[in-house]
Amino acid sequence: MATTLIARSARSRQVLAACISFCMAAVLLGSCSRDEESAVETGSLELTLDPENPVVGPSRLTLVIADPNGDPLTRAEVKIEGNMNHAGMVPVFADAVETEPGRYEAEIEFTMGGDWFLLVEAVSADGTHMSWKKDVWGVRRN
Amino acid sequence: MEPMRQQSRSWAIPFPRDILLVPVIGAFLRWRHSRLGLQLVAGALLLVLVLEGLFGPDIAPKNLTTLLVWVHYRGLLVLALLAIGNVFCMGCPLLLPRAIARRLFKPVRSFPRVLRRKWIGVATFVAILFSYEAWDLWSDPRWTAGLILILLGTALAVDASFKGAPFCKFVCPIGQFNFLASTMAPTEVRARDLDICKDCRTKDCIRGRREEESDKVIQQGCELALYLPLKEGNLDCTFCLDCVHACPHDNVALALRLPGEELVADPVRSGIGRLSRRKDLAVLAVLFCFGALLNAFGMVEPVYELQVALAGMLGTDSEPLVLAVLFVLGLILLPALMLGFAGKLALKFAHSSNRIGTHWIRMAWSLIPLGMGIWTAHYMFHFLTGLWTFVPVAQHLGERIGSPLLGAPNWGRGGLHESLVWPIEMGFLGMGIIGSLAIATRLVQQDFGPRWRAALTPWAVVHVSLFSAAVWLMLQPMDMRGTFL
Ligand code: SF4
Ligand code: SF4
Ligand SMILES: [Cu+2]
Repeated sequence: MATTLIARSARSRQVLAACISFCMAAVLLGSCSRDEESAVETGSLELTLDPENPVVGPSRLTLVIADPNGDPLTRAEVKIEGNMNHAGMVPVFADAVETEPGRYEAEIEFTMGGDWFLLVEAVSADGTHMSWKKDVWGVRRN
Repeated sequence: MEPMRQQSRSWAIPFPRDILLVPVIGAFLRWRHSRLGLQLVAGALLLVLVLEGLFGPDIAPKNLTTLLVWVHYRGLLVLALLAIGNVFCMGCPLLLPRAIARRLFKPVRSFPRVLRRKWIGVATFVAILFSYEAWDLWSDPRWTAGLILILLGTALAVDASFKGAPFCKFVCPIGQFNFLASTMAPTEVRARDLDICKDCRTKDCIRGRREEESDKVIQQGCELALYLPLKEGNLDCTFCLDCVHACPHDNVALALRLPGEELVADPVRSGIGRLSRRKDLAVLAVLFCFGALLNAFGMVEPVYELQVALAGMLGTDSEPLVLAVLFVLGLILLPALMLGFAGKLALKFAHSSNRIGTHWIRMAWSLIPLGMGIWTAHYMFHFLTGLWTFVPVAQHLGERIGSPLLGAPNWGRGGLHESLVWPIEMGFLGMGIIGSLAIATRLVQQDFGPRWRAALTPWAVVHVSLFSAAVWLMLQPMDMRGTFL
């Protein structure tokens, strides 16, 4: 009986240790993979909003995009998707049109107050994909 | 008071009052492996959620884990608690690894006596609320999966080291929430006929059913230490139905009952004792209500202004620090002041020499219906406004793993419009305040006799103020911001 008791408690210590390392591994795994952004940034994107501090409703976006060499990205297909930080919201979409070489404009509708982010995806004429994630924090109710 | 309750409990429950006798559902629940069946289904989903949380998109609204955990799970949880009972504990997949571990070896130690109070549960409950806000768990798939893994690991570690179900009873924050919330449920596991229990010699519902020769347990009894003839209400009951399968006299029912009624009774409860002596449980009840307010408060515009102001006053830009101050204010200072004064005034107005400590502990339970109303209203907002969003997110997952089964994501799917959800929220808040006032009234009637009106007044003020705060909160646009500094 005594031996089984010892064996059992040794075993439960093992299990405990296993559990703790399992948790720590999981958490580490979680925190490591945090930074790998799903968006790849190769070129550059400068995004301005009008109004500058966005409110619920339509908002004009100006995007100045440069290719990986730093030259204005022309004749690209630029799509924007707006999402809220919180799950359970319907995303909004917009296509941007080029108004000057490397300069695109779009209108997007913020449907709710709160923290948003915009996913911008550009496909250049030669088929190169570029994407960015831009935070738009604190969209206000008007 | 007690003899009357005994009487009211002793009637044999006729057919429609016992869910276990309802065709199909009853037959399923009485099947010995019904719990395992539910757990396996939930476990499969949990596995998907962990994998998707760790390896799926880093974007909360596109990740099935953040969506299902923070929008759908919480919504369905409160609905099930109000409509049926503690079915989420019944089917809880966090216990699956533990079930496997228990097959390998049987822990012999009991959970340490000093820890057999709800203080650990109080700590884990607050810790979850705090980390939810501080690290924006709702917007982080990795940490949402991490949280599931931490709960799984802790359940395994605790229950592999100690016998019984100490994780559920003392540690699990979701369990504590479910126990309190299930006091508002319309069903309860209870003995059908107390006379049969009186003559029962084996008491298998608590000891477990044993093989005759070897004395080996073939069906465990209640691991939560609830002895059926003395079990009162749903506190600490996981609806595991082990007692149903263990009782040799088929004397356990899943009975229909009046929600909240157990909060006004104060018999010696099996596995719990008298509620009026349990400071720890009263603290949990207070946190349940004020935590509901704080959790909803964390999502509206004014909280960000308050946080910025607090940060300025403290001269810090650390969000967790500011949040910690807010938690101390909202979960300790505010309830201490409000309930402290209400209790003192109640005794004063009623010219009563009742013990103030006991009075506070008893009245804490009157916060439960309102607390439940606030949790439900808030969670219904997310659940109903995002009702169908799981369709495109699941389609997106299918697309990523190369399964054409679900089709291309249709991102236009949302849920009910805010303006439709609002009356539903108000309905739950309204039921909450009515319930809280009713329970407070019953409690003061028991404790103050003819002077109950005087004693009720300060408590009614507390309840109505909390209710008004909740209505005001639900009127604010839900901002759902993760950042404020
Ligand atoms: S085993 Fe059944 S009859 Fe015996 S005490 Fe428990 S519930 Fe009552
Ligand atoms: S009384 Fe105990 S055994 Fe019966 S359902 Fe509740 S927790 Fe399970
Ligand atoms: Cu919310």
